[in-house]
Amino acid sequence: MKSWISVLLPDDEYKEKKMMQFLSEGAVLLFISLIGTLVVSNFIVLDTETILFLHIALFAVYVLGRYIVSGIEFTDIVTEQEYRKERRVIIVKSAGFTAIFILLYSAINGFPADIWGWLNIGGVSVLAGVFMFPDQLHFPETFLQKEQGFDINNKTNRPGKVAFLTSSGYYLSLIFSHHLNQELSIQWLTMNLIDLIDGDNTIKAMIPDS
Amino acid sequence: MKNNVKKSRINKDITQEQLAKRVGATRQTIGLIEKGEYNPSLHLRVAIAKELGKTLDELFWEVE
Repeated sequence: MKSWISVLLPDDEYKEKKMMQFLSEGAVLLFISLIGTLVVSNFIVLDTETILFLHIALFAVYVLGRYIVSGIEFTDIVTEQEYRKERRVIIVKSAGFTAIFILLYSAINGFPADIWGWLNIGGVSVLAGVFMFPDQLHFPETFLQKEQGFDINNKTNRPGKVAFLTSSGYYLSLIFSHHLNQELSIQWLTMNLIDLIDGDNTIKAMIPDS
Repeated sequence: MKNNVKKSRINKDITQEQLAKRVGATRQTIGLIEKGEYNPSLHLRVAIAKELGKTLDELFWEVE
């Protein structure tokens, strides 16, 4: 296929087709949600930054979710032995990433002084670890015994490189955004979501130091 | 859609992974083609046929 989008797509035609399907579905959902937001904005005052972030997140999470569930990340894993080996590798990588993230984040921001600080570190670290941890999004798999090569494709579904890149991307953006004094923290996200829905400040009144 | 890809591949004594590497696909794709769950492009069919030394008819004509 001769298109600039081919750069983002895998070489294998089945994977390419599935990715195109996921990206198209994500684009349609994004289109519908943008129209909905346009209509709603006539009645409710919406924070631009939060809404843009939510739409980006909707697209990214939908495409990533479909990719994970489809099982096209690990195409060569068929036997239970290979699955266990790969799972071990992913567990080690996830744990390592989470630990390094907590250490580096604390080194840059300092150890948290309040509950929001711990939520910032813990929430993001756990989320990143969860996205990378295979069994959290475990779906039924079918394995067949090896006979003169692999007989049938395995329908193993696990987050892999994409989830790692997504988590890393978020981690890097946190580092850079801290330096720009625009911290994309859990607290920031939460408060903005509350702002979005809490028109008469009922919820904010219940939160200390909000 | 049934086909003779698996039978021909086994006769040639090559694995799905080997065939996949030679035709520029993944093992998963070859597996899906053999199961009849994926309809490959003409380009891929020709590549598989060349690799297995068969014609398109012999590999992909509908098997009863």
